[in-house]
Amino acid sequence: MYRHYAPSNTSLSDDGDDDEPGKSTFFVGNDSHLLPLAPVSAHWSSKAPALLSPLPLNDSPISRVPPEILINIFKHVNAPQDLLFCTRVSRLWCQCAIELLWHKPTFPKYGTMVKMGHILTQREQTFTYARFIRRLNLLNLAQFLKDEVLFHFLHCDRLERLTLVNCKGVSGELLMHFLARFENLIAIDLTNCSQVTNSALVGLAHTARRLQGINLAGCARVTDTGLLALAQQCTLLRRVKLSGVSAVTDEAVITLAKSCPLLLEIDLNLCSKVTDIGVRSLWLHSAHMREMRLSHCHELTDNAFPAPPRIAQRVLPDFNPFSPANKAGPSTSLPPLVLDRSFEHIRMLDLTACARITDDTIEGIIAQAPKIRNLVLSKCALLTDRAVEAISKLGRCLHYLHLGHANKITDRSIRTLARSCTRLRYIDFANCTLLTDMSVFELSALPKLRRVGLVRVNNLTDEAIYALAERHATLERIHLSYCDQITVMAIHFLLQKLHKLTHLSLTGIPAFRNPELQAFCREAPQDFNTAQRLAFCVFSGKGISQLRNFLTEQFDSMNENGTDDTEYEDDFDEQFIEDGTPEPDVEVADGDRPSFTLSASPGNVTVQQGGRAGPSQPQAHEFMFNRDRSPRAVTIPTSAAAAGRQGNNVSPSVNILGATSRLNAEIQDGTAIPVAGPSRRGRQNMEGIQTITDMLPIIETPSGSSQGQNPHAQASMEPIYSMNEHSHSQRSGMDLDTPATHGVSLVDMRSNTQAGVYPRTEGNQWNMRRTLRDVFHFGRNPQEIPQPSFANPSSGSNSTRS
Amino acid sequence: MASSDYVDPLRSSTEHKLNTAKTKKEDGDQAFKQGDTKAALKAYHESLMFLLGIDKSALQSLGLSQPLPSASDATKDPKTKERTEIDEIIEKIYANMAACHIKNQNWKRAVETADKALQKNEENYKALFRKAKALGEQGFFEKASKILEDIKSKSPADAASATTELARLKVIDDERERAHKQKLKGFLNRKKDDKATD
Amino acid sequence: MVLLVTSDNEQFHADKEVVERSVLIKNMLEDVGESDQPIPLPNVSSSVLKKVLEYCEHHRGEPLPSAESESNQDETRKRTTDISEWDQKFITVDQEMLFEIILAANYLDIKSLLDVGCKTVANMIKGKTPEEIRKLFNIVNDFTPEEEAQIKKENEWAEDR
Repeated sequence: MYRHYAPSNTSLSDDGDDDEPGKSTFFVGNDSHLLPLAPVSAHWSSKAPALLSPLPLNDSPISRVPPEILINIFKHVNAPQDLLFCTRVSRLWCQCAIELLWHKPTFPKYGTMVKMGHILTQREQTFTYARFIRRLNLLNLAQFLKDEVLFHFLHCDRLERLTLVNCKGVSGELLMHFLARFENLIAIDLTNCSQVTNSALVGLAHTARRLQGINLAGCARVTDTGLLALAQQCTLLRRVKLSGVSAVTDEAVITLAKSCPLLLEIDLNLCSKVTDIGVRSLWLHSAHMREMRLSHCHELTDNAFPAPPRIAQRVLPDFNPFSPANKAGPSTSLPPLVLDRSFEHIRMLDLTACARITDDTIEGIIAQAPKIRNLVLSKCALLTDRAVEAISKLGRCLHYLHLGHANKITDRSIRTLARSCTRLRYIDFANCTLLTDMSVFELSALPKLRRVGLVRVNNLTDEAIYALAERHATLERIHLSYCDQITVMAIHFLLQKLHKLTHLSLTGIPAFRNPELQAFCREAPQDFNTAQRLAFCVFSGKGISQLRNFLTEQFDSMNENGTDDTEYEDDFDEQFIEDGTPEPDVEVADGDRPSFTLSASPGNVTVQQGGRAGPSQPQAHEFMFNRDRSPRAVTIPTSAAAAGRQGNNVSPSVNILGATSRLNAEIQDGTAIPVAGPSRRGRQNMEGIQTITDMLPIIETPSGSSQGQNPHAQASMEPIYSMNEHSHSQRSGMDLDTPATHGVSLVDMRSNTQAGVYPRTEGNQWNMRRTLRDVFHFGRNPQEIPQPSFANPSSGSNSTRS
Repeated sequence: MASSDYVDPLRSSTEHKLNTAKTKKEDGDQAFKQGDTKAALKAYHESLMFLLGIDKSALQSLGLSQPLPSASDATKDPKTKERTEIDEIIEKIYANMAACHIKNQNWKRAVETADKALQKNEENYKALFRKAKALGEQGFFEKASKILEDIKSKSPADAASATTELARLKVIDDERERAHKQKLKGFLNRKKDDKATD
Repeated sequence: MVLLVTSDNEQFHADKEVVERSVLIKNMLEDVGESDQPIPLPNVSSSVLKKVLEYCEHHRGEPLPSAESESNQDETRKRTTDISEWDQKFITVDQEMLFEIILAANYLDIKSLLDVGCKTVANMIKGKTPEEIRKLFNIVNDFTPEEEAQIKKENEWAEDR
């Protein structure tokens, strides 16, 4: 208050904010330090009213309420329309409501702003309206905004918050005048105001000494010159966002760090000229730092960050930068960064694509900043399990973690992570190609998990999907693109279970390369080429429910038309009969090649796809719909990528609708008899013949097995069986101590407990209905799923259920 | 509204309250002069009990105060804020309370009460000065010095004391800073780091 | 226990914890300590104080708004129609009492109660035309026709949708 000496005291903004003792110097969000209006009613401007009716002395209770309370009441009246009507009630009400009406005007259309501009420049105004405006957000009008209208707002010299995001049509010259007007400015957002120049910033810095937040993202003309002026003159700056201001160098960063001690948020994304030296100054001077964004600062190395404890400890007693013990090798001249304080406030750290950092950086950061909530380490490809183990020390503090492309990390550290950081909500492991279903099992135990990114984690099988379905209470977004083993059936199951799901990406999954399924997916981005468009498959919002309904319908109709299969022994799934499950009878032909081999390495299970190793090995499984009048083979790219890449013999365009209706017709027909499906080679010859099975099971799954001796584990993973057999799906591998990850296809979820057994038993009649039933069944409680006991030669040695 | 029936009791009670409040304030001033800050604070608080929440419209309608806000629109000079006698007394009481709290080294309450006085009159440089002092004592050196600089530029009468206080706070702050640096240096080899980073 | 005396000379005994929901009283007790002497509240009548103490009793022990939340006020105000069920019931009184409570809450500096009162009045205002508002609160339109017309014109922009 003491700071305002504007010529009028009508409505001083009371920003005691900064001066309140005992109050935190910092604010949670940009909006938390709003300046409340002073409880002072507005003054009429110069013109005295011609007539003043005598004060009505009536007994209405409200007449005793002083103006400051009236203002307090009007603050709770938010709709402009209501406030507007308040100004028309009486003179007193007008005085008390008018400033609130103008405080933070909204412009539903450009015309509104034009209209207001005219009022502001009128000579005879009832009130000096320009002085009422404290916040201006022109984001909505960005594309229309021109100099001649913004010009009218030059008189709003009490502006505290200004948002000019994307206002590209405003000239640099006007900005230079405009930005130099507002001495009360607290926050300004100039994102993508491409005309902002250094001189405009110099003017801003000179006037707006109380500035606390500035966003210059994408202001490409800004360089150190403007930033130095800001840093030196606006020493109260707390939030500085320079994303994409690519000319920024260490000099500006160091000056900011040194002269703005309150700095708590800095965004240097894409500021690729910034080096270790600049970032070090932030660690040295910005003790209150909360959020640091340094993504794509390619120059950064471990030296930009606090040294890990073991190095720091070595340095402390007798520091010698040239000692061989010093980890900073000859390539760097900087000594390890040893800090004497911890950064308790750091909540957010984004190091995306700081590709040179190693586990040391992570260890050092975690040791100094124990309360990080949001850690983004995508594309830091050097990180290993050691980094993840360090991250695990954040424990319950950690809510968001992105580790995409950290392709060295394995199930082992994910296990530690998931068991330590139990409050994780968002996780991303895109392209962490060593991860297997094991990781997903662990992650799906996180009680608050809302979003999981597993793009291109190719080892994942339907098992992982079933595990995710466990998190039905929280999961909202799932990214599975290019997890090419995933089947439609698994997704169907997932959708049945996850009712909070709002986003599901399945791009590049062969089973979903299907116009009928893609019909519900989002429009592919404009800049996608044809191939990309074909593969694009992202469901969100309504698309999710449409997909869910569609799949339900399909499976339901299959069921309705189906005949019950009696060959199936079932003592445990009666309760699901009413669920309506389809029962296509499909026979799968015997395959002649294993799809996978697996190898167990100590501590974690690594599953490899044999097909990958030997490209000559066929990758697909064939199915045959056994009631097809003319026998149809179904091909499913098993290690889908491999199969898909092989060429057109695996047609991704599976027509689920066609398939199911065919299927239904056939079931109704009732004439179908089980027949052995064709072998893979046969399948290749039968290209183009697709049935429901195309979109249902993807048989190939990595199947780890302690029973290495189990021949099918290695050899005959190509299951070829009748669909009927698949009623017994099995969830395996839930227990990490079991070295066997069982490959499970959607269809053979249960049957596959003895991988390779069924494939060899031709003619087994499996029932789709059972399959679905079981799917749902064990989804509810996997542990209780009885294991089917098929008279099967090798079933005795089954281990997958352990 | 039958004004004669209605106004009379109100007038008398309001006048009575105002007079009681004035008496209590004077008691407080006396006590403060005698160094009895506790008695002073008690008297001031009681005075406030009478002044705050007084029905101003009653006062105004009785001509006991300056015009209602709604009648002030003719004010040519917007610097003259509509203020009643009550507002002035309240301002003084709060400023004096701040002085009491400073004497008691109750810095937090000193700032609170100084702020209350400033709410009534932002150019009460005494209150402003007390606020700055209390802030400085709490370690908010930057805020304090900003206020003091402000006083220096705006109120020549208070400039001298502001300058003195500023210097005093600076000494305290420098000392603290030095101690901190010392600690830092002792803790690690800071010089090298600085060289490396700057 | 703290002793309070109202404008109509009625005495109220109340727990310190209860009366300290009034920041005015809390500050006084903090500054001068407790005593046997009654605290004069010459600007609250007994009927209103009874009501206010009922509110304080119900909300005893709840955290007082801090300086921090003070600065967040504007934001929290945005979601305002929310008044707790008990408060809503509590504040369902005639207009006379409603404004008396508001004045008392303002006087005694009980922010949460002041907010409940103000929100209630704000909710009464919402959706009403100026004329309806005047009628509801018995307010006289003291604008001159010229004034009224000009203000209407100057603020027309706020009607844009």
